[in-house]
Amino acid sequence: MAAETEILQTETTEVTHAEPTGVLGTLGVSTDLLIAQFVNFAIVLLVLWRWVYRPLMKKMDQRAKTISDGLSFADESKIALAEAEQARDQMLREAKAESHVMMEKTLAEAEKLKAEKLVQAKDEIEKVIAEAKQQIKAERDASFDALKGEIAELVSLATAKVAGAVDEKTQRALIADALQDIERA
Amino acid sequence: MAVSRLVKDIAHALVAAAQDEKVVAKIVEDLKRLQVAQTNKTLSEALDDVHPFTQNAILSLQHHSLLKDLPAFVTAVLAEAQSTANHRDVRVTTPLPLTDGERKSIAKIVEKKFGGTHTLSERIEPGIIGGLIIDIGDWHMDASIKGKLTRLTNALTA
Repeated sequence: MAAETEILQTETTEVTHAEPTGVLGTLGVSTDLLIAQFVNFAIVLLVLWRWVYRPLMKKMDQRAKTISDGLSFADESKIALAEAEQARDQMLREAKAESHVMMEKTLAEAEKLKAEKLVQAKDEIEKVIAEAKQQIKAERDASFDALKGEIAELVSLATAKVAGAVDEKTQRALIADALQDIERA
Repeated sequence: MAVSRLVKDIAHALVAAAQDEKVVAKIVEDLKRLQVAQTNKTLSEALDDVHPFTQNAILSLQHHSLLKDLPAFVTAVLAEAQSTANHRDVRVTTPLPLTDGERKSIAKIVEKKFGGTHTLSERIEPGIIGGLIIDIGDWHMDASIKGKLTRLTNALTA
């Protein structure tokens, strides 16, 4: 271990002590070192490109695609929503129109039914009234038939009574009334 | 009994003369009285109080030996008086005698309804109870209490 350390120190010393040449040498730049740095940079670049940049770009592309897909989906959704709303409005309009027609039809039928029922009701009322009148007339006739015989008898009795009870003053009044009746006749 | 042509001619002449003098009612009344007087055998006495036209008519009947046809003559005169002079024989039935005011009322009613002249004949009938009955030719008006009661009874028992 100590030996290895010594070797490395020796090499470092050698490198450090190498004399720069050419323009770069004039500028104090070591060509070997530059190359090594280029190589190192290339390696680092390669590593970065291969394992960082590419995956990163891939991820970014995927993300961009996802976002793009999302946006497209959103647009499609908006269009679909608009179409759905339009379809819904159309359906609502049609439903309203249909319901309006149905309502009018129903109202017309209801009016017709009402008129028919009204006529029916009137007919029934007339029938009931006619029957009631007929019944009343029959009852009245029956009562009258029963009474008129008695009334006739009472009239005869009253005649006999009145005949003997009329004085002259009353007679004159009756004649005056009779003359008025005749004048009006 | 057929009325002779001569009786009708005398009746026609009597009514025509009475119409001219506006005494149709008087001669009709006279003839009714004479008809009653003939029945009571008092015709000669009754002749003194009648209108000269009536006397002449009676004398004409006597001249032609037609006094026995006096009732037919009276009937003919009444018919002639009604047809040519619009004279009517008004028969009134009451339960008691009429007063002058009642007679005037009856005359007024008859003139209003029929016009012309009329002779009033009164008959007392207590059986009608009250009111009166008027007969003028075919026209009959029963305004008596008995008539009203009879109509009421008939209506009730019909």
